Amino acid sequence: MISLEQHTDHYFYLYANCFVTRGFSRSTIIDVAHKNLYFIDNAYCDLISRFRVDKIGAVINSFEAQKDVTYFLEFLNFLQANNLGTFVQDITLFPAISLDWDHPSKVTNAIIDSRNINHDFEDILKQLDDLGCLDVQLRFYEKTEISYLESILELTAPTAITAVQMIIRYNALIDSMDYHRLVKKYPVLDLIIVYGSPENKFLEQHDDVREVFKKVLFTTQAVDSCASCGTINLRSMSIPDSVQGYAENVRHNSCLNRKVSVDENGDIKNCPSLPRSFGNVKDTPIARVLEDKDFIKAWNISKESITVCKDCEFRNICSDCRAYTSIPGDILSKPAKCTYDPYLANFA
Amino acid sequence: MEKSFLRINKNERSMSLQHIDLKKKELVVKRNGQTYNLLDFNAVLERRSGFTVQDLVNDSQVLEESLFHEETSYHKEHVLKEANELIDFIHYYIENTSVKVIGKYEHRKLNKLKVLYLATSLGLSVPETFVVSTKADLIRLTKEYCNNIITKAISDGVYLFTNLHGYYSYTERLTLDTITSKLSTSFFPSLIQKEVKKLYEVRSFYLEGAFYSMAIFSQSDKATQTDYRKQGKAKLASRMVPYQLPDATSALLTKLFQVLNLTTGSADFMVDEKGEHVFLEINPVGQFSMTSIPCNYQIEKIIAEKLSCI
Repeated sequence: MISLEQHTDHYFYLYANCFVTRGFSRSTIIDVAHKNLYFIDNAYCDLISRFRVDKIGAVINSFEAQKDVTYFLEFLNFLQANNLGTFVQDITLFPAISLDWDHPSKVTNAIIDSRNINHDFEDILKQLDDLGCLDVQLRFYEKTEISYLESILELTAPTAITAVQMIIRYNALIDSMDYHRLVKKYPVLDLIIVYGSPENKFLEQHDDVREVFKKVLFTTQAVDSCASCGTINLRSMSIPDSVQGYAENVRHNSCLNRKVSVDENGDIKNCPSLPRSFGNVKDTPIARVLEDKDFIKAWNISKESITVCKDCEFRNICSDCRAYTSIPGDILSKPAKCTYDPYLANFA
Repeated sequence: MEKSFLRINKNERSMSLQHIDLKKKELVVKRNGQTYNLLDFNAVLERRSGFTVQDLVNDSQVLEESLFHEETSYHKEHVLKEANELIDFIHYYIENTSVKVIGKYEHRKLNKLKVLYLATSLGLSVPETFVVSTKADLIRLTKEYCNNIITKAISDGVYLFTNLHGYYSYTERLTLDTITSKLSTSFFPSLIQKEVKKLYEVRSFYLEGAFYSMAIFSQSDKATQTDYRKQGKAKLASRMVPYQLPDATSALLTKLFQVLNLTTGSADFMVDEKGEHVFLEINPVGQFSMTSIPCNYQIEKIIAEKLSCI
């Protein structure tokens, strides 16, 4: 237990990479360094904002009731026990972290959907690489042969693409070891999700090569089209790995920022599920689409501008969805497939 | 702001020196089948060394030849000396023909003891520092400072990874036990410092007059108490957060960088229980990512802008 006498002349420094988000009913503290989330009462959210101005002694003196001092002490204990902050002599030496976000790549991530047609993957991947794209998700709504997947993966060799995710349909004729061989042969292949599988499981690790661990996921979920995307629940949220990732979520649209999508018809869009096409990849260079202000606009829809979401304590770690919204056609309304109600603080 | 650039990594076997022509102002290298005249570049950022002996000597067997029968290592040493002289010139030549230079090759190494001496003379607080070579002296110091002494390399620590083992040394605390049981009466002159009881560590990246500082809280974990880099056994990652050096420290440190003629580098401090900033060293080829990423300073972007604003 903290002895208050010892610290009355100190400030309590909530570490700059522990971010407080105030919601309608409660607040969260997101510890980005340790990837932890804590819920706190909104009253404590107000208290935390005083930490940068008032010493512990001054905070205590402002309480009228003794029980408030006790609660305060418990709260400090909670923060310290979870390593969210520490006592310091001079709070001005510990500035806040900037949430400015930028990236050298014009496009950081892309989705390419396929059904029946064979995209010119060589051309698309080359274009994405020229734009600095790092992560590519390939979704197939038809059964695909391993050899076809392999031919696409071969195309990433001359690029600087760092991670490829493949979402493919379950095919009983494919030996699961073939997936295993694929992820082993192509380190760039970060994850294969096999949907429509008989069971939910990660492919077991068959040898001691660490990289193959948990790279093949079988799921019973049916994925028939891009309409299967956009679900928001606790599982779809994740605390970013870095302050940059967190800053991107706060300042930009966490799903669409620096994203380019090619839908199953070859149409270039912000997201395959959004109606507006900015041209077909067969005759429109992706780089030209990026010059369209309307295309870029979606990248900057932050949670602060979305109704309901702006009152949600999860808004800064939410995956978001701008395609399926609760008010169809209103791009600034809450995701339709989000089950959380921030006014009641519960999931439906 | 889009500029073409070339990144040359140490020991990148795909690159080789083609020729240098002082009259035509050419320093031509070949990489992945493409040739570049490095003097065509207007700006350069140097971190550690770009060129190494391997980039000059295509056939490593050349080094192993024994041309002088009585002195088998003479040939190798001679070629290495030639190579290092050439590497020195390559960097000098590129720097001198560039409009903008960040980090100079000649500054890639600093003498830790010289820097400590300069820091003290400027008024920065530094740990009490000794070089001792006898067990008797070391025991005396250990007793005088009640077992609170540490040792570290005078230049660089050991950092060697073989197929079988990884060897590396960090800053280590010395105990009377180890000294009496493991050391001989006299030993190679070693750097000894009184241990600073830290509240937190500070790393300040300096770039052309500005500091980008970070505080590192690692005290809660025993594994990282003496040196936060030893995170292998630490349960929680050290807390790395933005920091603002006190004005007085910042002014003295700026002076130190100026005296050393450095436009960039990374300075390390320990902040003790009284809040005193104890200066440890300057790493002239300082890693900036490890400060930039946790504190979101975007130093990469700042450097890119400085290099392209010419």
